[in-house]
Amino acid sequence: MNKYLIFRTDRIGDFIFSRILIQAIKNKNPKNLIDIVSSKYNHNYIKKYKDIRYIYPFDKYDPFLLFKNFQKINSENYDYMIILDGKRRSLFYSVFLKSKYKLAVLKDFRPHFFLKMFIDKYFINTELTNQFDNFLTICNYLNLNISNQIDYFKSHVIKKDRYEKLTKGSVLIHLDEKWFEGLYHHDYQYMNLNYKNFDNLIKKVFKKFKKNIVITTGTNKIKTLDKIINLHFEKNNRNISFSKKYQKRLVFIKKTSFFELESLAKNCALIICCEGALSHVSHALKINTIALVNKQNIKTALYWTSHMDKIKLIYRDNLDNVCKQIGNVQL
Amino acid sequence: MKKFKILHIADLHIRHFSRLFYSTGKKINNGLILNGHNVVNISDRDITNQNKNIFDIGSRKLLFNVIIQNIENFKPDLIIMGHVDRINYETFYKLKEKYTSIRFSQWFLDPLNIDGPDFNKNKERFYLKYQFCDTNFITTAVDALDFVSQNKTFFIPNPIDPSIDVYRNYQSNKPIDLFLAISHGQHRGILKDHYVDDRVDLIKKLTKKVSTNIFGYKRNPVWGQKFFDELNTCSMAINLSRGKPVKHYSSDRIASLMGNGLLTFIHEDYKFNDFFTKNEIVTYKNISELNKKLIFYKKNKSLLKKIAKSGCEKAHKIFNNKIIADYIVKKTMDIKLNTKLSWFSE
Repeated sequence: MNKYLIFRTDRIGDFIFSRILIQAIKNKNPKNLIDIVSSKYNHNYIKKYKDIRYIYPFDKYDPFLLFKNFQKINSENYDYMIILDGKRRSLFYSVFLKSKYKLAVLKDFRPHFFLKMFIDKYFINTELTNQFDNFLTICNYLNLNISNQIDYFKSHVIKKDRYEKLTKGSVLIHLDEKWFEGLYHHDYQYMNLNYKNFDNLIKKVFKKFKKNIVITTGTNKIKTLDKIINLHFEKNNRNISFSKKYQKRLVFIKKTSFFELESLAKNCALIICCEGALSHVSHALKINTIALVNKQNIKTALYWTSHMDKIKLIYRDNLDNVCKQIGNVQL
Repeated sequence: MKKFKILHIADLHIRHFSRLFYSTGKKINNGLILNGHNVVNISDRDITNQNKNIFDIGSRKLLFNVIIQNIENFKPDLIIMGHVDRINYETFYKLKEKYTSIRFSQWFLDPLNIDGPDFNKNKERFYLKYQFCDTNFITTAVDALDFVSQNKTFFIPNPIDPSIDVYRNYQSNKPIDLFLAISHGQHRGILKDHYVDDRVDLIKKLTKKVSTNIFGYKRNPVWGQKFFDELNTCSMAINLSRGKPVKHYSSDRIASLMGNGLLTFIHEDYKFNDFFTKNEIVTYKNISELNKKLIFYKKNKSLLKKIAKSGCEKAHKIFNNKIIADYIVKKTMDIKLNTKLSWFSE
């Protein structure tokens, strides 16, 4: 039995991807103990995983928390410390922490002298190979066998979908902030989705897939989306709205947490979303997915998704072109 | 088949003045050329050995610059690397980053067996290039190791080169029965003082009823043509590798033994019976069985010659350097294999 401490202080999608490593560690010996240093943002999400023994929330601006974690981590005598997020904060913090073996996965920041002094082995997380292959290399090095498919239900209880009757077998369109200009990367292409052209997208999806549609969004407030909802939907209850035009065939579910999104995704036949955490979940759940990616960043998109066999990538573009691409997708 | 421009970076032992003219690097190189590829060599260790600079310890920078200049001038399709240990991980990353259109491959001959010698050192050396290589070739069965991906790591046997392995010992009666050669490292050449070699236990227990020509125990190993001259005096040989047996691994000496027509004995745990029948190679379970079989074949010369001949012919057929070089190129360039041999993996 070995004790592992994994640094994953970034986003949910990164954590979900890291599940392949976590499962490999558990598969090798179910008695292996895995603790995570996570961002505060991910803390609640990671708690749902039964195979994670303890989570250390990380906040570089909270010295009290850093010290508390430092004391607890150093009392644990970890066998392996794996810095998966490649962040400077994790790398520097790890210097003060005790572990028999320290391994880091780094991107551009690789201070040679520092690494030689404090890290036993490091790997470069490079887009020259895809992310799955990079993880495979790390797992191979640690004598762990990994599968490209995460058994999502093995250690994680997905909430029962309280909207199951409405959502089962439908197409889920996840309209999070990544769809709307000004809320995500400024140099990305945007779809200019608005209350005027929203119906074009819906008609295209109805025509192509002949299934009901569920619209979800994240917890962020998006003005353009609010306007679309106000004009096209009628409130049924606090969280659910039905389309004025298509009634129950087009449903909007308000402010879905990531847990709810997982449970909704589990029941859907197809997911349309911008590439990110949800596409990692859909891959894990083996659900067909159409993911929007930026053409200029296709290499990055492939880096994350090339091992996913149920995903179809389409380019971010104006909505007409996105609709055309959806029309041409072969699932 | 399409002919490629190949940059082969491997130790060609120029600094050893032909002492190792039968090295695996040379055999693979010959195979690549015989297959019609345009091959340029960089003998990495000769470069670093012959150019010492206090400001460039280990001549790493020099070697990197030599490689870059060769790539820039030659524009290879494929870079095949042997045990290129003088380039560090970051430098391999730089090469891969700079030349994304070039395919990279490595072959690695040393044991990667967890119970074998220098396991951690060898694993580190292998992993130096593993991540950035499109394909990796090892002389241990891939399914015997749990730290390599079967998608990009493949088994290759130690190659036999018909231009090097030219003897056919089974064709005549030899004055000595058994040839046995071990060493403490081929670069070093001579035995280390106070080094305990696990193979010596077996050598000590060998039957005295067969005459032996043993090198690497009490006598220093022999190299160059002298190695072949000594080998040519014997009719049988034991293939001994360091460490516990692991599936399909062997020291590169097996190519010289089988390739030159000696009746070769190998421990059954190496599972060479996946490639050879009992009419082509002799396997043994333990020292007493080995001794019995040695005595038996000493007394049955015609059977000895028959098995040695079949083994030699089969080994030349399936472990041929052209086939191995072709396999390396095709696997790396994603070209479908036309033929299938017992050691190929798809």
